[in-house]
Amino acid sequence: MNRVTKGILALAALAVLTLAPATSASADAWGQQNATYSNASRSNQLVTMTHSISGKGRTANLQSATATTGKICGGRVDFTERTSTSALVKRSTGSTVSGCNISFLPRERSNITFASNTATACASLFDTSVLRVTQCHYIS
Amino acid sequence: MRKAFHRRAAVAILAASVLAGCSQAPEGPPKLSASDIADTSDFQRSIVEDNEVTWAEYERATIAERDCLIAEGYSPGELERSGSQLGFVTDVDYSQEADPEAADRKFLAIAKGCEDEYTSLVRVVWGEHLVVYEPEERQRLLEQVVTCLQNAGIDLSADADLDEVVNTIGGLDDQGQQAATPCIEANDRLFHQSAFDS
Repeated sequence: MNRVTKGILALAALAVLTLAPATSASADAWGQQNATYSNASRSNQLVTMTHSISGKGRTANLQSATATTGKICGGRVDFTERTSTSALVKRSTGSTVSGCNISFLPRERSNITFASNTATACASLFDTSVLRVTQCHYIS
Repeated sequence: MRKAFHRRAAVAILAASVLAGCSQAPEGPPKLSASDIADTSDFQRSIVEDNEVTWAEYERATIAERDCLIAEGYSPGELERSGSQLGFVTDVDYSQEADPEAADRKFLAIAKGCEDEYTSLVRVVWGEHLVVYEPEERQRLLEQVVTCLQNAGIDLSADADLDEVVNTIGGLDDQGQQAATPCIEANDRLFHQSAFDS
Protein backbone atom coordinates (compact mmCIF):
# COMPACT_ATOMS: atom_id res chain seq x y z
CA MET A 1 0.00 0.00 0.00
CA ASN A 2 1.48 3.36 -0.93
CA ARG A 3 1.63 6.22 1.53
CA VAL A 4 -1.15 8.08 -0.25
CA THR A 5 -3.61 5.26 0.39
CA LYS A 6 -2.39 4.87 3.95
CA GLY A 7 -3.04 8.54 4.56
CA ILE A 8 -6.56 8.37 3.25
CA LEU A 9 -7.38 5.29 5.27
CA ALA A 10 -5.99 6.89 8.41
CA LEU A 11 -8.10 9.98 7.87
CA ALA A 12 -11.21 7.94 7.21
CA ALA A 13 -10.72 5.58 10.12
CA LEU A 14 -9.92 8.16 12.74
CA ALA A 15 -12.30 10.95 11.91
CA VAL A 16 -14.85 11.79 14.59
CA LEU A 17 -17.72 14.04 13.62
CA THR A 18 -19.71 15.90 16.22
CA LEU A 19 -23.00 17.65 15.59
CA ALA A 20 -24.20 20.13 18.14
CA PRO A 21 -27.85 20.45 19.13
CA ALA A 22 -29.28 23.65 17.70
CA THR A 23 -29.91 26.64 19.91
CA SER A 24 -32.48 29.34 19.21
CA ALA A 25 -31.56 32.33 17.06
CA SER A 26 -34.86 34.19 17.05
CA ALA A 27 -32.89 37.22 18.26
CA ASP A 28 -29.20 36.79 19.04
CA ALA A 29 -27.63 33.40 19.52
CA TRP A 30 -24.19 32.23 20.45
CA GLY A 31 -23.03 28.66 20.80
CA GLN A 32 -19.89 26.64 21.15
CA GLN A 33 -19.29 23.02 20.28
CA ASN A 34 -16.24 20.93 21.11
CA ALA A 35 -15.11 17.87 19.25
CA THR A 36 -12.07 15.67 19.39
CA TYR A 37 -10.71 14.11 16.27
CA SER A 38 -7.61 12.49 14.93
CA ASN A 39 -6.06 12.72 11.55
CA ALA A 40 -2.97 11.21 10.04
CA SER A 41 -0.64 13.79 11.50
CA ARG A 42 -2.07 14.21 15.01
CA SER A 43 -4.31 12.31 17.39
CA ASN A 44 -6.95 13.56 19.82
CA GLN A 45 -7.03 17.12 18.64
CA LEU A 46 -9.54 19.33 20.40
CA VAL A 47 -11.44 21.65 18.12
CA THR A 48 -13.89 24.27 19.37
CA MET A 49 -16.41 25.75 16.96
CA THR A 50 -17.93 29.05 18.07
CA HIS A 51 -20.91 30.13 15.99
CA SER A 52 -23.06 33.19 16.49
CA ILE A 53 -25.94 34.89 14.74
CA SER A 54 -27.00 38.41 15.65
CA GLY A 55 -30.23 39.90 14.41
CA LYS A 56 -33.94 39.46 14.72
CA GLY A 57 -36.31 36.89 13.28
CA ARG A 58 -35.21 35.91 9.78
CA THR A 59 -32.88 38.85 9.32
CA ALA A 60 -29.38 38.64 10.66
CA ASN A 61 -26.88 41.47 10.80
CA LEU A 62 -24.03 39.07 11.21
CA GLN A 63 -23.31 35.35 11.20
CA SER A 64 -19.82 34.43 12.35
CA ALA A 65 -17.91 31.28 13.07
CA THR A 66 -14.47 30.64 14.48
CA ALA A 67 -12.76 27.34 15.01
CA THR A 68 -9.89 26.98 17.45
CA THR A 69 -7.77 23.90 17.24
CA GLY A 70 -4.29 22.54 17.79
CA LYS A 71 -3.39 22.29 14.15
CA ILE A 72 -5.54 22.20 11.07
CA CYS A 73 -4.47 21.81 7.45
CA GLY A 74 -6.54 23.10 4.56
CA GLY A 75 -9.24 24.37 6.94
CA ARG A 76 -12.56 25.67 5.67
CA VAL A 77 -15.78 26.92 7.30
CA ASP A 78 -19.12 26.40 5.52
CA PHE A 79 -22.49 27.88 6.45
CA THR A 80 -25.57 25.78 5.70
CA GLU A 81 -29.32 26.22 6.12
CA ARG A 82 -31.87 23.41 6.52
CA THR A 83 -35.64 23.08 6.79
CA SER A 84 -37.48 21.61 9.76
CA THR A 85 -37.26 18.22 8.03
CA SER A 86 -33.49 18.66 7.64
CA ALA A 87 -33.67 19.22 3.90
CA LEU A 88 -30.73 21.29 2.75
CA VAL A 89 -31.72 24.75 1.52
CA LYS A 90 -28.38 26.49 1.01
CA ARG A 91 -24.66 25.94 1.35
CA SER A 92 -22.07 28.70 1.43
CA THR A 93 -18.53 27.37 1.20
CA GLY A 94 -15.77 29.51 2.65
CA SER A 95 -12.21 29.95 1.44
CA THR A 96 -9.80 27.09 2.04
CA VAL A 97 -6.80 28.10 4.13
CA SER A 98 -3.42 27.39 2.57
CA GLY A 99 -1.19 25.10 4.57
CA CYS A 100 -1.61 24.37 8.28
CA ASN A 101 -2.26 26.73 11.13
CA ILE A 102 -3.05 26.85 14.80
CA SER A 103 -5.37 29.16 16.66
CA PHE A 104 -8.51 30.07 14.82
CA LEU A 105 -10.14 30.09 11.49
CA PRO A 106 -12.65 32.94 11.37
CA ARG A 107 -15.43 33.45 8.88
CA GLU A 108 -18.31 35.90 8.92
CA ARG A 109 -21.01 37.22 6.64
CA SER A 110 -23.44 40.08 7.09
CA ASN A 111 -26.94 41.19 6.09
CA ILE A 112 -28.50 37.75 5.74
CA THR A 113 -32.17 37.05 5.17
CA PHE A 114 -33.00 33.44 5.92
CA ALA A 115 -35.55 31.78 3.63
CA SER A 116 -39.06 31.28 5.01
CA ASN A 117 -38.51 27.53 5.24
CA THR A 118 -35.09 27.73 6.92
CA ALA A 119 -35.33 26.16 10.37
CA THR A 120 -31.65 25.81 11.29
CA ALA A 121 -28.49 27.69 10.36
CA CYS A 122 -25.22 25.87 10.90
CA ALA A 123 -21.47 26.40 10.68
CA SER A 124 -19.24 23.45 9.83
CA LEU A 125 -15.49 23.04 9.95
CA PHE A 126 -13.70 21.03 7.28
CA ASP A 127 -10.13 19.79 7.57
CA THR A 128 -8.70 18.92 4.13
CA SER A 129 -12.29 18.47 2.89
CA VAL A 130 -13.25 16.18 5.82
CA LEU A 131 -16.13 17.44 8.01
CA ARG A 132 -15.01 17.70 11.66
CA VAL A 133 -17.58 19.64 13.65
CA THR A 134 -20.91 21.41 13.10
CA GLN A 135 -22.73 23.90 15.32
CA CYS A 136 -26.33 24.96 14.61
CA HIS A 137 -28.93 27.49 15.74
CA TYR A 138 -32.70 27.34 15.25
CA ILE A 139 -34.16 30.12 13.13
CA SER A 140 -37.71 31.19 13.91
CA MET B 1 -11.42 12.31 -15.15
CA ARG B 2 -13.02 11.54 -11.84
CA LYS B 3 -10.35 8.93 -10.99
CA ALA B 4 -7.70 11.48 -11.79
CA PHE B 5 -9.36 13.92 -9.42
CA HIS B 6 -9.39 11.32 -6.66
CA ARG B 7 -5.75 10.51 -7.17
CA ARG B 8 -4.85 14.19 -7.01
CA ALA B 9 -6.95 14.65 -3.92
CA ALA B 10 -5.05 11.83 -2.31
CA VAL B 11 -1.76 13.49 -3.10
CA ALA B 12 -2.96 16.73 -1.55
CA ILE B 13 -4.08 14.96 1.61
CA LEU B 14 -0.77 13.19 1.74
CA ALA B 15 1.22 16.33 1.31
CA ALA B 16 -0.81 18.22 3.87
CA SER B 17 -1.01 15.63 6.59
CA VAL B 18 0.96 12.48 6.25
CA LEU B 19 4.63 13.24 5.75
CA ALA B 20 5.51 13.22 9.43
CA GLY B 21 8.55 11.14 8.65
CA CYS B 22 9.92 13.64 6.19
CA SER B 23 10.53 16.56 8.52
CA GLN B 24 13.68 18.48 7.77
CA ALA B 25 15.91 20.87 9.60
CA PRO B 26 14.33 24.30 9.83
CA GLU B 27 16.56 25.95 7.23
CA GLY B 28 13.59 26.54 4.97
CA PRO B 29 10.36 25.02 3.83
CA PRO B 30 10.37 21.23 3.42
CA LYS B 31 10.09 20.04 -0.14
CA LEU B 32 7.53 17.95 -1.95
CA SER B 33 8.67 14.53 -3.06
CA ALA B 34 9.22 13.78 -6.73
CA SER B 35 6.18 11.46 -6.69
CA ASP B 36 3.97 14.18 -5.17
CA ILE B 37 4.94 16.47 -8.04
CA ALA B 38 4.64 13.75 -10.67
CA ASP B 39 1.16 12.73 -9.53
CA THR B 40 -0.45 16.17 -9.53
CA SER B 41 -2.24 17.84 -12.45
CA ASP B 42 -0.25 19.38 -15.29
CA PHE B 43 -1.45 22.82 -14.19
CA GLN B 44 -0.22 22.43 -10.62
CA ARG B 45 2.97 20.63 -11.64
CA SER B 46 4.01 23.62 -13.73
CA ILE B 47 3.76 25.75 -10.58
CA VAL B 48 5.10 23.52 -7.81
CA GLU B 49 7.87 21.62 -9.61
CA ASP B 50 10.45 24.11 -8.31
CA ASN B 51 8.98 23.70 -4.78
CA GLU B 52 8.21 27.39 -4.69
CA VAL B 53 4.97 29.31 -5.16
CA THR B 54 4.91 33.06 -5.65
CA TRP B 55 1.94 35.25 -4.80
CA ALA B 56 1.26 35.65 -8.56
CA GLU B 57 1.21 31.85 -9.00
CA TYR B 58 -1.01 31.41 -5.94
CA GLU B 59 -3.38 34.03 -7.32
CA ARG B 60 -3.37 32.41 -10.80
CA ALA B 61 -4.20 29.01 -9.30
CA THR B 62 -7.02 30.44 -7.17
CA ILE B 63 -8.49 32.22 -10.18
CA ALA B 64 -8.31 28.98 -12.18
CA GLU B 65 -10.13 27.09 -9.41
CA ARG B 66 -12.82 29.76 -9.35
CA ASP B 67 -13.12 29.66 -13.16
CA CYS B 68 -13.49 25.87 -12.95
CA LEU B 69 -16.56 26.29 -10.72
CA ILE B 70 -18.01 28.88 -13.09
CA ALA B 71 -17.51 26.48 -16.01
CA GLU B 72 -19.47 23.88 -14.03
CA GLY B 73 -22.40 26.28 -13.71
CA TYR B 74 -21.83 27.65 -10.19
CA SER B 75 -21.47 31.30 -9.17
CA PRO B 76 -18.49 31.83 -6.85
CA GLY B 77 -18.01 35.29 -5.38
CA GLU B 78 -15.14 37.65 -6.05
CA LEU B 79 -11.63 36.83 -4.85
CA GLU B 80 -11.10 37.85 -1.23
CA ARG B 81 -7.75 38.45 0.42
CA SER B 82 -7.30 37.92 4.15
CA GLY B 83 -3.76 38.38 5.44
CA SER B 84 -1.62 35.95 3.46
CA GLN B 85 -4.64 34.03 2.20
CA LEU B 86 -6.60 34.32 -1.01
CA GLY B 87 -9.93 32.63 -1.64
CA PHE B 88 -13.57 33.04 -2.47
CA VAL B 89 -16.99 32.11 -1.20
CA THR B 90 -19.43 30.01 -3.20
CA ASP B 91 -23.14 30.14 -2.38
CA VAL B 92 -25.37 27.37 -3.69
CA ASP B 93 -29.17 27.46 -3.42
CA TYR B 94 -30.88 24.06 -3.32
CA SER B 95 -34.40 25.31 -2.66
CA GLN B 96 -35.59 24.36 -6.16
CA GLU B 97 -33.83 20.99 -6.22
CA ALA B 98 -35.91 17.80 -6.12
CA ASP B 99 -33.07 16.08 -4.26
CA PRO B 100 -31.03 18.73 -2.42
CA GLU B 101 -28.69 16.22 -0.77
CA ALA B 102 -27.77 14.72 -4.14
CA ALA B 103 -27.27 18.20 -5.58
CA ASP B 104 -25.03 19.07 -2.62
CA ARG B 105 -22.97 15.91 -3.01
CA LYS B 106 -22.51 16.76 -6.66
CA PHE B 107 -21.45 20.32 -5.84
CA LEU B 108 -18.95 19.23 -3.17
CA ALA B 109 -17.45 16.64 -5.53
CA ILE B 110 -17.10 19.18 -8.31
CA ALA B 111 -15.62 21.76 -5.94
CA LYS B 112 -13.10 19.21 -4.70
CA GLY B 113 -12.30 18.28 -8.29
CA CYS B 114 -11.59 21.91 -9.16
CA GLU B 115 -9.42 22.24 -6.05
CA ASP B 116 -7.49 19.07 -6.87
CA GLU B 117 -6.95 20.22 -10.43
CA TYR B 118 -5.78 23.75 -9.66
CA THR B 119 -4.95 24.58 -6.05
CA SER B 120 -4.56 21.67 -3.62
CA LEU B 121 -0.80 21.24 -3.91
CA VAL B 122 -0.21 24.91 -4.69
CA ARG B 123 -1.81 25.73 -1.33
CA VAL B 124 0.42 23.22 0.47
CA VAL B 125 3.58 24.82 -0.94
CA TRP B 126 2.27 28.37 -0.39
CA GLY B 127 1.43 27.38 3.19
CA GLU B 128 4.97 26.12 3.75
CA HIS B 129 6.31 29.42 2.49
CA LEU B 130 4.30 31.17 5.22
CA VAL B 131 5.85 29.24 8.13
CA VAL B 132 8.28 31.42 10.07
CA TYR B 133 11.33 29.49 11.27
CA GLU B 134 13.64 32.28 12.41
CA PRO B 135 13.34 32.73 16.23
CA GLU B 136 13.89 36.49 16.02
CA GLU B 137 11.11 36.91 13.48
CA ARG B 138 8.76 34.66 15.49
CA GLN B 139 9.46 36.77 18.58
CA ARG B 140 8.81 39.98 16.64
CA LEU B 141 5.47 38.66 15.37
CA LEU B 142 4.55 37.42 18.84
CA GLU B 143 5.22 40.82 20.41
CA GLN B 144 3.26 42.47 17.62
CA VAL B 145 0.21 40.24 18.07
CA VAL B 146 0.27 40.57 21.88
CA THR B 147 0.37 44.37 21.63
CA CYS B 148 -2.44 44.32 19.07
CA LEU B 149 -4.60 42.06 21.27
CA GLN B 150 -3.95 44.23 24.32
CA ASN B 151 -4.94 47.32 22.34
CA ALA B 152 -8.13 45.48 21.32
CA GLY B 153 -8.99 45.19 25.01
CA ILE B 154 -8.04 41.55 25.46
CA ASP B 155 -6.50 40.67 28.81
CA LEU B 156 -3.04 39.29 28.05
CA SER B 157 0.32 39.82 29.74
CA ALA B 158 3.03 41.56 27.73
CA ASP B 159 5.35 38.55 28.02
CA ALA B 160 2.73 35.98 26.94
CA ASP B 161 4.09 33.13 24.85
CA LEU B 162 2.36 31.64 21.82
CA ASP B 163 0.54 28.96 23.83
CA GLU B 164 -0.91 31.64 26.12
CA VAL B 165 -2.02 33.67 23.12
CA VAL B 166 -3.70 30.67 21.52
CA ASN B 167 -5.38 29.61 24.77
CA THR B 168 -6.57 33.15 25.44
CA ILE B 169 -8.05 33.47 21.95
CA GLY B 170 -9.72 30.08 22.29
CA GLY B 171 -11.39 31.18 25.53
CA LEU B 172 -12.80 34.43 24.18
CA ASP B 173 -16.50 34.94 23.64
CA ASP B 174 -17.79 35.90 20.21
CA GLN B 175 -17.25 39.61 20.71
CA GLY B 176 -13.71 39.01 21.92
CA GLN B 177 -12.92 36.75 18.99
CA GLN B 178 -14.18 39.38 16.58
CA ALA B 179 -11.95 41.93 18.28
CA ALA B 180 -8.99 39.55 18.01
CA THR B 181 -9.50 38.67 14.35
CA PRO B 182 -7.68 41.70 12.84
CA CYS B 183 -4.68 41.01 15.10
CA ILE B 184 -4.55 37.39 13.95
CA GLU B 185 -4.96 38.28 10.29
CA ALA B 186 -2.27 40.94 10.42
CA ASN B 187 0.21 38.51 11.97
CA ASP B 188 -1.12 35.25 10.57
CA ARG B 189 2.29 33.82 9.68
CA LEU B 190 2.97 33.36 13.39
CA PHE B 191 0.17 30.80 13.49
CA HIS B 192 1.28 28.77 10.49
CA GLN B 193 2.88 25.39 11.01
CA SER B 194 4.52 23.08 8.56
CA ALA B 195 2.33 20.36 7.08
CA PHE B 196 5.37 18.13 7.21
CA ASP B 197 5.74 18.23 11.00
CA SER B 198 3.87 15.74 13.14
